[in-house]
Amino acid sequence: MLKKIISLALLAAAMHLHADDGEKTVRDAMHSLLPMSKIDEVVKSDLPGFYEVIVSGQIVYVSADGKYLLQGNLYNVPAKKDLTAGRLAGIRAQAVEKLPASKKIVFAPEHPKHTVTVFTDVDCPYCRQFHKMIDQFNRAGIAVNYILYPLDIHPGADKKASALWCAADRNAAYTAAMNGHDPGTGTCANPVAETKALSVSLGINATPTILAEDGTQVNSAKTTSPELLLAELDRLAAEHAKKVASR
Amino acid sequence: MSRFLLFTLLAAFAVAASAQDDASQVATAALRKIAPNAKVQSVTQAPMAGFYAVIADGHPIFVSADGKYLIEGHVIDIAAKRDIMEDGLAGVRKAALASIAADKKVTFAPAHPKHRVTVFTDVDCPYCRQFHKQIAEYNKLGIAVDYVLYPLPIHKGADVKAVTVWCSKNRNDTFTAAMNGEALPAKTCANPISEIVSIAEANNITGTPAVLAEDGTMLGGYVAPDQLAKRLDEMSAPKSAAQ
Repeated sequence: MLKKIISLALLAAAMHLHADDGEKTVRDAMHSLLPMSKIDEVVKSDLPGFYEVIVSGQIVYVSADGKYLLQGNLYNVPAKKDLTAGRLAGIRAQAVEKLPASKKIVFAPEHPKHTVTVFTDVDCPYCRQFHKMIDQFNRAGIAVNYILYPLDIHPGADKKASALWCAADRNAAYTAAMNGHDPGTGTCANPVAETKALSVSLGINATPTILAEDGTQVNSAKTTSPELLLAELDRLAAEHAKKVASR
Repeated sequence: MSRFLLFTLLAAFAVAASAQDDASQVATAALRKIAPNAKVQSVTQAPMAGFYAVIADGHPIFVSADGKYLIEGHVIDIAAKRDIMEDGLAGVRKAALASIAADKKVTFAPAHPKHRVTVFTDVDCPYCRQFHKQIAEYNKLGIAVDYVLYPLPIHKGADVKAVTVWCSKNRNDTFTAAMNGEALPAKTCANPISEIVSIAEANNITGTPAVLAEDGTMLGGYVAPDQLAKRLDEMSAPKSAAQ
C-alpha cells in the first residue's frame, strides 16, 4: 500500500514536472519571439497540444513544443463558442471589478438593472455622443462607470482628464468637458495614469470601449440609443446566465 | 512489377487521397458551422500534424483535423518568425491576380523589367499618390508596376475618377494627372472597375495601396522604391543563397 502511494506520488510529481516543462518551453518560445513581452499567464488551452498565453491583455496560443504561435479567435466548433472572446471578457471583467469605484466616474440611477464600463476620452467624438444620452441611459436603468483613458493620438487629452478629475464636482466637470468646455488645467492626485495603463494592459486600444458586466465588449452599433443598449444588455445578461447555468 | 502489386499501390494511393479529401471536408464543414456563407478558396495540410490551413474569403483559418477547433488568424512559425498561413494566402492571391487580364490594368513598365508588381490603387488615397510620385524610380530599379483601379467606398467620388481615368484616351497620362490632384471632367465607358472591386473584396484586400508580388505575396502598403527593389531581389534569390 505504502509503495503504491509513493509510486503514485512520484508519478504525480513527474506529471507535474512534465507540465511545468511545457509551460517553460512556451515561455521561452514567447521570449524568443517577443523579447520585451510581459507574460501575465500561461495555462493549458482547450486546444489539445497548446497553451494559452496572456500577454499585454491579449490571448495567443503556443504549441507545447514551442514551435508555433496562433493569434486569433479560437472557436469550439460543435458548441459554436468563441473561446478567446469568452476568456478575454472574463479577464476584463475581473480587472474592471478590481478597480475601485473611487477611480471611476459613476453616473448611476438608484436601482440599476445593468452596469456598463466605458473607457472614455474627453476628445473622442463618439464618447461625447454617448454621454449626450447619459440621462436617458440612467432612466433606462443602466449605470455607467467611466474609466478615463486619454488616447495618445489626442494631444492634451490627458491634461483635460486630470483637470476634470480634480474639479470640485467631478461628474458636472465631466459632462461640461464632453460638451466641449475646456476643463482648464487643475491638478491634484489622480488615477488617470493608472486607468490609462490598465486600459493598455487590457488590450483596449480605442474609445469608447463599452463593456457589459461580464466583460463582453458591446457592439458600438448597439449603443446609439438607450432602447438598443438596454435590449443588448438584456440579451448579454441572458446569455451569460445560460453559460453560468451550464457550467 | 506484378499487376497485383501495382493494383495494391494504386489502391493505397486512392485511400490516402480520399483520407485527405475527407479531412479537408471535415475542415470545410467546421468552418461552415461558424461562418455559413464563407467561400472556401483553398484547404491544405498544415505543417503541424492534425491541422488544416484553410483560406476562405481571403482570410486565413486554421482547423483541427477532427473539426472540433478553429482559429481565424495567424500561425507563426516561432523559429522562422514567419506566418505559415501566408503560403496559402499568397496562392489564393496569385490566382486572383491571374484572373485580371493584362488589358484591365494600367501598366507603367521599364523596357526590360526585372520584377513585376500589381498595385491596387485609389486615386484619392494619399499613399497611393505618394507611390505614384515615384513611379519613375520604381521603373528605373527594374520594377514594372501593374496598377488595378480599386476605388474604396470610403473615398466618395473616387469611383467616378477611376472610371474617368479608365475611359480617357491616354490612360497612363490621365492616371498620373489624377494622382497629381488635377480635376478631370468625368467620362464613362465600359470598364473593369466593378470586377476589380469584387476580386479585391473576395480576397480580403481592403486597403490601398496594396502591393503584391507575382507569386501573390503581399508586400505592403506603401513601400519605398529602394525597399521594394531589395525585397523583390531577396524573394527571387535562390533559396540556398538566402539561407
